[in-house]
Amino acid sequence: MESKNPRAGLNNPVQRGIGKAEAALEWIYPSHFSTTAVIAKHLQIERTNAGNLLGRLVKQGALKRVECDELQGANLFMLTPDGVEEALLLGVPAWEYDTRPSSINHERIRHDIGVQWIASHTIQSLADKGVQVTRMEPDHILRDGSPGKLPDAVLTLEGGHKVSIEFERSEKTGERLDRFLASIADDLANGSYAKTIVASRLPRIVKNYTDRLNSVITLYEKNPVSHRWQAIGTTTVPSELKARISFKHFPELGAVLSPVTWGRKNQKGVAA
Amino acid sequence: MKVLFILLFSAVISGCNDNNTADLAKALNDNAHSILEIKAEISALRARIVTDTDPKTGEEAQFSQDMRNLLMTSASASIPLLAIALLIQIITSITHTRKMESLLKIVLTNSEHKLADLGKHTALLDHLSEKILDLLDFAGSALQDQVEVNNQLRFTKEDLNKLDELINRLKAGNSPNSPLQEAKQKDIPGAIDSL
Repeated sequence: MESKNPRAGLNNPVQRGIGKAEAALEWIYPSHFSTTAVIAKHLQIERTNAGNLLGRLVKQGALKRVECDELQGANLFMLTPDGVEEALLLGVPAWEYDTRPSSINHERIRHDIGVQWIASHTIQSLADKGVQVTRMEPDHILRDGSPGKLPDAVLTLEGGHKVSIEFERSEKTGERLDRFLASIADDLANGSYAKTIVASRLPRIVKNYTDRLNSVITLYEKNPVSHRWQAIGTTTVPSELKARISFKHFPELGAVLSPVTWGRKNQKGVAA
Repeated sequence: MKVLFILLFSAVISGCNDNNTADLAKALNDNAHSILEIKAEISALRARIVTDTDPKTGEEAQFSQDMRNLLMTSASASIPLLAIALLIQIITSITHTRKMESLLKIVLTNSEHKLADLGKHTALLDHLSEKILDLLDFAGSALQDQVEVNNQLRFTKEDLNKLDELINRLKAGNSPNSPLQEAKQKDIPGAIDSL
């Protein structure tokens, strides 16, 4: 889960290549699928090199390409049964990996790829400060046995600290926003996470969410009979909890999610 | 309580085989010294947990109270079950707290004395990876007693290997140059704040 290739210092290029391939498999296994852009970001290599690396893994039978209509036609890469076995041999924690392309929920592809990119960015930010992330768990892994509200991803740092990640593609308003912010504050208050990152491509979301967090928010509770949310009071989030919620604007996500429109020529960053 | 723990721990561990009891008992004896070392380390850790007080109120932290209530004062059969569940969790993966939570729920659901309030303490579960060593005291004591008394505890080779791994991990965590100690020296909270 180290952001930089852990074997980057090796002199032998063959060993370096193996290291990158292993790092790619270790990333794709918990993520279920990924794209060239995310792998390039995670391994901190050029997109072309990432494409070559993934292409080699496809030829070797560890990965398969999955075409999709989202991400402006960028290929997805997921593990084959052989790839799953290789990943497990590398020691990644097991989950019920489904190798069928039909197991990919196409409605969530843009969301999931965005989450992966943000997770990768966060891992690199921490690595720059000498802190390693030992584990990345997207929500489909967290969901096992936990029916409640879950973040989009959780990063476990060395020492056991946890950072949760939320990726907002569209803006929540009113009751939904209040419930969202209240649940984040709850998780932070009960010690589930040390920090929560709420990231978006839209600067408006960052501004509006920050404003809302600084105002009085309404608390809601689900009625056990009607199953509808009903207001039960208001509250303000304590300042120490506010300090642990970070709203981030990532324009670079454009190059990942809309590579043709925002990729290669128009924006910095890499295309998918 | 230790007796209960021994009985339940023995029952939980699969692969019991009378034929290899002698070999396993010998292996267990070989590990006795390490187990005693663990006990000493755990005692130090326990002292630290006890002093984990709230700076504002001066009261003992809720976690310590919970742990004590759960593990020390209650004599219900749930306690060894809980300890077993957590011990299994240590052996498999220290950090996967959600998995541990699920495991705990299963264990507690099946126990006669349900600790209904445990579900409220999600924060408690998140802290367990560090504090969990306290539970090893039970295991260490149980193993030590068995070694000294009658060598009847039936461990498989695999179980002993896991125990060895656990011991090594614990030792590595306490050596000055270990990754765990290095992590403690890093400014991890500072790095998190900067995100």
